[in-house]
Amino acid sequence: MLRNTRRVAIVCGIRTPFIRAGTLFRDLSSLDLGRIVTVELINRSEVDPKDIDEVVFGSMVSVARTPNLARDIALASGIGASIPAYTVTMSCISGIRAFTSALEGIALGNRDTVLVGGVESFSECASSLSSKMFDVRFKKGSFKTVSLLQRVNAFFGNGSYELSFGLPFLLDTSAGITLGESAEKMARKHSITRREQDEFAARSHNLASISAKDGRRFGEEIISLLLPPDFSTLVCSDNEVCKNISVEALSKEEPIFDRRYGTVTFGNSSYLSDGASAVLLMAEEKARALGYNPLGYVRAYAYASASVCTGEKLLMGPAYSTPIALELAELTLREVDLVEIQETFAAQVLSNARAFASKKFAREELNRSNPVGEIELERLNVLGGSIAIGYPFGACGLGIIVTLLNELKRRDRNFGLVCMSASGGLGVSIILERE
Amino acid sequence: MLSFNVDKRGIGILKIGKEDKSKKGLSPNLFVELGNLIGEIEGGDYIKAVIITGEKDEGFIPDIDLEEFLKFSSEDDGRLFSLRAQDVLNRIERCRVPFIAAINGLCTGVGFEVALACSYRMASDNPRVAFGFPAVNLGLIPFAGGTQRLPRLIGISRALDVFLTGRVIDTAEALRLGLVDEVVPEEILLSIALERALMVSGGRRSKSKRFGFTRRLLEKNSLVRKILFSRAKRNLVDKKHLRSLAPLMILESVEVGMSASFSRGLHVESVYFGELVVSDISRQLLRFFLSVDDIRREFAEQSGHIKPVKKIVVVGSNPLGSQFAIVAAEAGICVRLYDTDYKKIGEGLRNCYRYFKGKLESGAITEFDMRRRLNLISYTCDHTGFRNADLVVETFFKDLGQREEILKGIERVAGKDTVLILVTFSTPLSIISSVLPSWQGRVVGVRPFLPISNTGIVELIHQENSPNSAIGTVVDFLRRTGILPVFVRDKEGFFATRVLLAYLFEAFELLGEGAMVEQVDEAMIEFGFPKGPFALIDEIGLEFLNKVGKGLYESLGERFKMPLFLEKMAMEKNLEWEGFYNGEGKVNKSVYNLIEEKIVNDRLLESDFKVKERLCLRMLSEAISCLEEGIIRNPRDGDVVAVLGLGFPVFLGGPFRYADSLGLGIILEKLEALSHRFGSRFAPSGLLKELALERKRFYDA
Repeated sequence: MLRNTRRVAIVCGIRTPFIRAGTLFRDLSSLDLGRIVTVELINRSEVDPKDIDEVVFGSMVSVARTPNLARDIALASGIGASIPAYTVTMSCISGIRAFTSALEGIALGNRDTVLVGGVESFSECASSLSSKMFDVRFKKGSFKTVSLLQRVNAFFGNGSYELSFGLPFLLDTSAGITLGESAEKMARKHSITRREQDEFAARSHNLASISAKDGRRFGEEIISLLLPPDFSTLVCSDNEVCKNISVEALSKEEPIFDRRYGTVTFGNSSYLSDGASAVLLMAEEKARALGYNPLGYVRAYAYASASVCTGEKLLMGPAYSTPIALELAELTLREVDLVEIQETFAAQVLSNARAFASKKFAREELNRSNPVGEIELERLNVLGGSIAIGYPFGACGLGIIVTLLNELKRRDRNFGLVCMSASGGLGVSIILERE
Repeated sequence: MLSFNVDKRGIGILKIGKEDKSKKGLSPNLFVELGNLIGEIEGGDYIKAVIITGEKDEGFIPDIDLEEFLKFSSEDDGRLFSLRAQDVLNRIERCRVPFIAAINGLCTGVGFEVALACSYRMASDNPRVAFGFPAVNLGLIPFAGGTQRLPRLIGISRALDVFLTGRVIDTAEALRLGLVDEVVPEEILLSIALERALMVSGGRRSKSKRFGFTRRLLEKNSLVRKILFSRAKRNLVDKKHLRSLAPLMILESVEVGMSASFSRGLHVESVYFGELVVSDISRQLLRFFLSVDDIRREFAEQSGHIKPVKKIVVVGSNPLGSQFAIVAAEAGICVRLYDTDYKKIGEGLRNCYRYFKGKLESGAITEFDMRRRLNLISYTCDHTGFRNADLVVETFFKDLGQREEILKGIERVAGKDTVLILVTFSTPLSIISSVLPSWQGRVVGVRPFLPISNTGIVELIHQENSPNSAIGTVVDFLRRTGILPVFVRDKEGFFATRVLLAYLFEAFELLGEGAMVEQVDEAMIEFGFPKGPFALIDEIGLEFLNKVGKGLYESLGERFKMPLFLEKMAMEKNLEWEGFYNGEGKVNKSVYNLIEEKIVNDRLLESDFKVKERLCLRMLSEAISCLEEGIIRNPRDGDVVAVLGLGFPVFLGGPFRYADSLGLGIILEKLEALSHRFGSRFAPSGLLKELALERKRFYDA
C-alpha cells in the first residue's frame, strides 16, 4: 500500500492494435495515434473533458519530434487548453513511468482525474528514410542481408541505423552494447538454452493466437481504427498474431549475433511496433461518486536499477524491483494470481524468472536471504506477450496493465504483478489488485 | 454619425458610425454631415491631418442602410445622391489637410470608397479586415467614385475583377495589389497612424506606392484597353443568375472614366447608379437580402440561457450524415459519427475528408485548420460516447423500422437533456416521433436543403408541444454552423417539398400532354431556375418522388394526384430507368415511349410562355395554400425558403414577391381559367380570393 495516500482507481483503459512498425500504421504519426486513443478513451469512459485535471503521456522515440507530445495530443483531442500536460520518457518503460507519475499526483491529493497514455511510432521515426530501405529495415531479414545494409547505412552516416533492423539492434548507450547482445549474455549467465527460448517464444505466440481467436485479446480493450485518408482499411487487431508458430519452425532460425554459439534469434525476440494506449486514473472516492466500476487499483510499485551495468544485467531490472514491490504490497509471490513479465527476449523473461527463484541471486545481488519465488508457467504471461504482439515501447506498459486486469476479472482473481525492464538496467514492478 | 476629435498636435480622428445600434447602416445624411465637417476642417488653421478609423471591434465604416435605397422613388433621387457623395469624397481627396485611412475592420462599399479617397491607407493585421465591393450582388454599382478611383489605383483588369465578382479581399492580397500602403499590428494601428499623419502633414508626403508599373503602362494604351474591356464583357457570365445590368454598367463606368476623363467617369457612375437603384431587379435583390438579414436577427436574439452545443452524435454515416458532421466540425463542434458497420463509417469519413481537402486545395483553409476540423470527428459502431452529447442528429430517413431500433438503443445511453433532431423531407414529425415515446419533448424536426454547407438554410419543424429548450438547443447549433432556420408547421410536405412536388408533378403533366423535355427545362432555366424540372427529377430520383408524392396525395388529396406518366413508369417493371438525361446531357428518347399515342397526336404544344406560366402558377398556388394553412408564418419566410432552398430566381424575390409584382387579381383570374381546363389542382385558395378582392398584396411595401 502506498503509505498515507489516497487510493487510485484505474477506471477505464484501452489501446490501439499493436502493428509491426513500417506496415499498416506507417502513415500515422505518434500524435495521430495518441489522439485517436485519447478521444476513444474520453468517449468510452464518458468522462467530461473539463473534469480531467492533467494529461500525461509516455514515449521513447517520439519525444524528440516535439517539445511536449502530451500537450499536442491533449489539444488535438479536444481537451481544453487550460489543462496542463507533460511527457515522460524512461526508455522502454516510459508508459509505466507516466502512469506512476500521474498516480502520484492523485495519491498526494493534487489531482483527482488524470488521463495517462503511452504512444510509440517507429514508423514516424524512420519515415524520413526512402521507402525501399524502409521496407527492408523493418522486415525480418536474414543475418546476411542485415549486415550488408547495416554497412551501407553506416556509410551514409544515417544516425538512426541503431533503430533499424529490429529490436535486438537497439543500442543501449549506458553499456555500449545492443539489447540483443545483452540477451545473449543473460542467456549464457543463467544457462538458458536455445530450446528453452524457442519453447517460450512459441508459447507466447500460441497463447496470443488462442486468446485473439476466442476474443479475450479483443473485446473492450482494443479499439478499431479506420486508416486515413481512404478510411477503407479497418484495423482492429494486432497484426502479427494468429500465426501458427511451432518450436520446430523457430529452431530453424539463425542466431543474430553469433552463428556458432548464439541463441537469440528474431524468432525468440520481440519486434518493434507502433501503437498507443491510454488509461483513466481517478481518486477512488471520485470514481465511486461518479458511478464507475473501476478495473482495479494499484497496491504498490517500485523502481530499481541494477547496481552494476555490465552486459548481462541490462534487462534484469524486474529481478531487482519485484522484491521491493512485494514488500511494499505486503504480499508474497505465491499470493499473486497472475504475473506479466514484459517480453523483450525470451532469454530475458526466463533469466528474470530464474533470478526470482534463485537463492544465490537473492543473496549476492539483492542482499536478501530468501528468493522472491518460483513463477509457474500457468501464472506467467497467460495471454502471450510482446514476442507475439510486438513492442511499442511507450504503449506497452499500459496495455499490459489493462490486459492483466481484464484477465483477473475473467478468472475472478485479485492480485496481479506487472514487471518491465528498461535498457540501462532499470526495472519496474507494479502490484495491482481488483478490489 | 460622425465623431471628430482633434488632439494637441492638430491631428483629427474621425469615426463614422451608425446613428444608433438598431439601425442597419448609415443614413444618406452622412454626406451632408461629412460635407459640413470638411468645410470646418478646411476653414480652420489648426488641423494638420485627419485619420479616419472605426470603433474598436467594429468595422471600419458601416455601409449605407439598404432600406434607405428602397426609399428612392426616381432615378434622379439616386443620381443626385451619388453626385453628392462623389462631391464630398472629391473634397476629401483634394483637401489641403491630408486624410489617412487607418482600416481596423471590414472595409466594403462606401467605406472602401472613403478609404480610396484618402491620401494614405494602412490596415491592421486583424483577420477581420477585408476589402470588397459587394454592390454587384445587389444589382448595384459603387456610387461615390469607387468605379473611378479603384482602377486608377490598382489597374483596370484587377479593379474589374474586384467589381464584377464582388469578392472579399484579405489584407495580404490588399497589400500585394497596392490597395493599402502598409499593414500594422492591430494594437498599434492608431499610434502608427498618428506618426504617419505627422509625416504626411509635415510635407514628407509618402506617396501611395504604385504597383504594377508595367501593367499600368500597358493599360494606358487604348488598344490594350479595348481588348481588356471586350474580354471582360465576354466574361460577365458570373453573375448572370442575377439578371441585372449592373456588371455591364460597372464596365462602362470604368471604360468611360479611363478613356475620357475622371469627371466623365463620375458622371456616368451617378447616372447608372440612379437607374439601377430604382430598377425592379435591384429592388428585389435588396429586399431579399433584407429578408434574410431579418430572419438572422430574429434568431440572434434568441440566445438566452441555452447551454451551447459542444458535441453532437450523427446517426448514419451516409452523405447526409457526413454533411452534418462537416458543418459541425467547421463550427468547432465535436462529432461522434455512428453507424452499424465500419464500412459505412469509412464512407462517411471519406466524404468529410474529401470536403476539407477540397477547401485546402482551393486555399480557403490551411492544413492546420483542416487537421483541426477532422480531429473533431470520432466514430464508433457501438453506443459509446453518447452520454455527453447535446444533440443527436438522425439521418437514416429511409427506413422507419431501422430508425426506430437504433434510436431506442441510443435513448438508453444518451443524457437526459440530449435533444434529438430527426431529418425528414416530407413525413410529419408527429408520425415519426410517435414510435419514440421516450424522446417526447426532446425531438425537433429539420428539413435540410442539400448540400447543407452551401444552401445555409433548413426548415425547422415546429410542434405545438415542443418546449423552448429543445428548440433553443437546435437553434444554437444552427446558429453556430451558419444555417438559417425557418419555422414551418408540422404537416405533410411542410413548405418546400409541397411546392417542389407541385411544380414537378405539373412538369409531368406537361410531358403527358406532349411537351418535350428540353423545351420545359430550357423554359424554366430562362425563367431563372438554375436547372429545369426534369434535370432536377434526375437528381432527386423517381423513388423519392413516388414515395413523397404518395404521402402528399394521402394527406392533401386531389391536388397531388399522381400524374399519369409517373404511374406508368411505376407500372413498367422492366423499365431500366436511366433518367431523363443520359450521361452526356442529352435527353433519353426512350422517355417518350411511355406516352400514349393518343396524347401525342392530340398535342397541345404549349408555347414556352405557357409552359412557364403553368409551372409557375402551380407553384404559386401551392405556396399560397401553405401560407393560408399556416405552414409558413409569413410570406417572407416562404420567399426565403423558395429562393435559398429550391432555387427560385432571386431577382424575382421569391414566389410571394413575384405574385405581388404580377398582381394578385391577375393571378386569381388565370388560376380560375386553369382550374376549369385542368382540374382542381389549380383551384385558387380562399386567401388569394380574399386578398385579390380587397386589392391587397402579400407585402405592404
